[in-house]
Amino acid sequence: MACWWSGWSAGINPRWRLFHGRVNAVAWLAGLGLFGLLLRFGYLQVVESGRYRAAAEDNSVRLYPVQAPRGDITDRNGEVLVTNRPSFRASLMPKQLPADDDAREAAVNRLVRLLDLDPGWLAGRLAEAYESPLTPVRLMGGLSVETVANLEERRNEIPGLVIEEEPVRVYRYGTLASHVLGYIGEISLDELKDLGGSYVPGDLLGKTGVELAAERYLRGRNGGIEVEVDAQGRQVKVRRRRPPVPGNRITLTIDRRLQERCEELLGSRGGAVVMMEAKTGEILAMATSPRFDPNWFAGGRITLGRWRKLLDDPRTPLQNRATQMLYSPGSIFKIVTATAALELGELTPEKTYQCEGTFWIKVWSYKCWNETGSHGWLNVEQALIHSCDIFFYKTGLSLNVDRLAKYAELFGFGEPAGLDIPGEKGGHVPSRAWKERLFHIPWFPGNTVQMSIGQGYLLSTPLQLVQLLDLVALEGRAMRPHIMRKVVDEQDRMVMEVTPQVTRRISIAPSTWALVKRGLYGCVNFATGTGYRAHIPYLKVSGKTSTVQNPQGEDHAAFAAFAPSDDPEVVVAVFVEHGLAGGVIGAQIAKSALEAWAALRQGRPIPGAVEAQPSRAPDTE
Amino acid sequence: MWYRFTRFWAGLNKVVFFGSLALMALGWALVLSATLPVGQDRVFPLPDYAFRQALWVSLGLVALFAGATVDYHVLLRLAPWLYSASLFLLGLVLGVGHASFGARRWFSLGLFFMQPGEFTKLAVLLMVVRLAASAPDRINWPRWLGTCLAVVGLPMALIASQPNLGTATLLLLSTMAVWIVMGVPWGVFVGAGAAAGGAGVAAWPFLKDYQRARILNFLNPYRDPLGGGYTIIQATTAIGSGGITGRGFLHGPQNRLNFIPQHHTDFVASVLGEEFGFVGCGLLLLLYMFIYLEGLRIAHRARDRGGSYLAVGIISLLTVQTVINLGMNVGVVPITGLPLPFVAYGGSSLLINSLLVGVLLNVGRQNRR
Repeated sequence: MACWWSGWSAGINPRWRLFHGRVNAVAWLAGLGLFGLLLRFGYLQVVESGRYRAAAEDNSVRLYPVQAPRGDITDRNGEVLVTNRPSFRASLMPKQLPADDDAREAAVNRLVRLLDLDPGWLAGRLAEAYESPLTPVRLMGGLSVETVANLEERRNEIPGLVIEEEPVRVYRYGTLASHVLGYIGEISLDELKDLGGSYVPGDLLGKTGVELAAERYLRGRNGGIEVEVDAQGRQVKVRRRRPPVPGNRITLTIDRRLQERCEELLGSRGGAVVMMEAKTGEILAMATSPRFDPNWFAGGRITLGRWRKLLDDPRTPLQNRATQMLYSPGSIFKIVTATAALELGELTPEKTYQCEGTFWIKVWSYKCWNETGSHGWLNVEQALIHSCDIFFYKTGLSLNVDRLAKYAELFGFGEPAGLDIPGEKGGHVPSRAWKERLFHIPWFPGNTVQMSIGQGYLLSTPLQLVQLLDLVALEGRAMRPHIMRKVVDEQDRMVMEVTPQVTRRISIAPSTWALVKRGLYGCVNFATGTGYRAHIPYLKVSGKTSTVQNPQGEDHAAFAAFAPSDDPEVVVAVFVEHGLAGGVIGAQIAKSALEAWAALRQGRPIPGAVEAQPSRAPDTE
Repeated sequence: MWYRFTRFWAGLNKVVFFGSLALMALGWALVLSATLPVGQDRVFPLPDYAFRQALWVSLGLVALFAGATVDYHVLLRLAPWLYSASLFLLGLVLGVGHASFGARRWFSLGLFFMQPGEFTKLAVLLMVVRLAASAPDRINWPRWLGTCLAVVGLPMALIASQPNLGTATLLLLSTMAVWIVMGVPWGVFVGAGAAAGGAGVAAWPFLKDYQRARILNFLNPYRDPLGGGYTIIQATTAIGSGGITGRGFLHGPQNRLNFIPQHHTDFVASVLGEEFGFVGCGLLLLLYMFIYLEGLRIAHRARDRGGSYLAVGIISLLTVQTVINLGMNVGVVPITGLPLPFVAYGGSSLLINSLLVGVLLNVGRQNRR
């Protein structure tokens, strides 16, 4: 037998037979190994080739989003409050960081120092990036030229650092209306989950205020570039581009000049001034204090130092005092007590109570703000004018808590007023059941006494005081308060327009409204009224003062009014923390605000105002 | 002189010689494609690696001719000396060697790194062949196998502790190939295989976590696609995406965009698979098959037992490397550091493999006609 490939024949040398057989066995083994490999290559390259081709494509072709410029925000007169300017953004390719632990840590620490990032945040972000190491991690936008220069100098020490051009949001007036405008930030994992498809990690979106409320208008549509990348995520070449569609422009109901004046009037005191058009619900000004600078957030992240500064501030500058801070409404609530009592027949226009200076229930005493008892006998109109507490204690008791609470709710307490920026709070209207559930003690008449003058457990926001005055001004209707007026696209085509809307109606006898309005008019216009400091010779103002007892410190001052008295056009509410007396500081601020409003309406300069210039916005880091 | 050369040329096995040359040329082209900078579409300027590999190929040819010229009997006589020298080098590298990827396998010789493990292959093979060739006809198998195992086991242990399990396995398998042809009863192999399998199962509870993870990653690379399984996934993806005809020389994205780690050394076959497809891979396998069967033909016709054992040993060294390397490229063998003979970038491996083929050619020159 001759072997076909070796030429060896068994006949040649029988002694070597075993050896030749064994060599052939080795040949078979080698041949089988190679043949097995051929089968495997065939499986991969012929049978499964399509799947692997797709996987290879996934590896190397990447779609990078190009951020669309966010839409501008203007005030009601078209003055631009928020826009964009060209700037730089730093991001990091996690895959390009050094593999060596020490070198990696050194590079990360350098970044943290240069950009003042939160190290915990960056570590977390890089850990998440393990799942998609080729997607850049967005670090910070809005970089100043100096920072970019610093980063460029150290680029060799931080492999994977990418600096690209990206427009940055500019809040031209700094802290002006910061709670109204809100701020933006990088999308979080949770938001990414909720919002779904059209967002990608690294996108910026509105986090609060108008930026959040109008996100879908402001955002625009991101463009993209399709690039080929290598294994480290470095761009090799661009395959295709799609330009971004800029966001729509939104016009607010805010008047920049009025807003500025109101903020100036508040000064450094904590509090809020809200002005609203009575018949439309358009918010003309929503001044709050303290404020923050949204530019700090515009780069997508705030630096660690600034974030600490905001968080450590005991005055909580991130909180919107007009819609999110709850205070007792104080004497302004007497409007509700009076209306309820008149409607339910517990009061008539002529009915009088005597103010003795101190009111007793068994052993507990409740004082009038005017402890001398010089109020004497008053009817409801006089009680509103002088803000007599004891008159309303007695009225409140005659009503009892259930009916009082019902009317409070009718007037919008305990429920958000429906402002079109998110985060508004509804406050609290107490009830017997609520107190028993929470404190396990029954409702005492003393609680009713406190509630009847807007103290105690009753809590509301300054915006709700605006709504209350609007109900009085329009005699039973309240307009939905709104800040966004219209949205237009790049070609000035209308995308969205807000139409005034009635949110709340109550039916109260016209005679009751007339009586209450007489009280509010007298409160401001009679020399003995508590709100006389808000009196303006050329404008009839009706309003009510409030001094809110504050167990934590100085009393808060509040004032709410509408004007002109016979045909109301504007409603204003002022709340000043630790302002001592609503009749003093509250009424003064409201007066100046109303004067400013009147001046603007007549095209005159605002008396006493310092006009601010728009700043070239500071760099955000 | 000319006469001597023509005689030398006439005695040279052309299939093995030209086959090896073809492999080296292909390897050079693949190394070029693998190391061309990202974004460079033309071949010129050549990358550094292409120049170095060209240098290695020329040195390899010198080694090949040297091996073919020196009588293999001389090598067999020198076997104990070469063996001792390589043991010394192995001991030295564990002490002062250069560590890379967590293994001490290299000597730093200024410009280049030398891997003494590669030279050990030849020395151990010569020693085993010498033992086998001088074995008496009426052999005491247990005693002889014990001696042989001791001879192979010492360098194996040193190499395995570098750690370089691939080369250690290679030494054992090629020794066993020599055993096969010298007529060790089949029962020994069956018993050894069963013992190895049993030991593997029994060792599982004692393995360290990372060792277990490595085995699990091999069985299912998608268990850890960016860590332990990354290389296998990227290599098989490259090979699979090549399809039947491949994506074209220099046009494999997996290769050119550096998705495959070590694609100029251990994973150079995935470059071939991606750029030349099933056709290219099939031709490569065919080329290896030709060379190896031709080598075994040389073993059949060798002048003496030493020559044929040597030929079988050399072929088994090359075949095992080829099968293990290609196997790990297609994901059927765990990743070990064995390069593809003649194709992968690397000086030590290319030099020693050329020398081995040279010795094989020398055996062939002395074949019975």
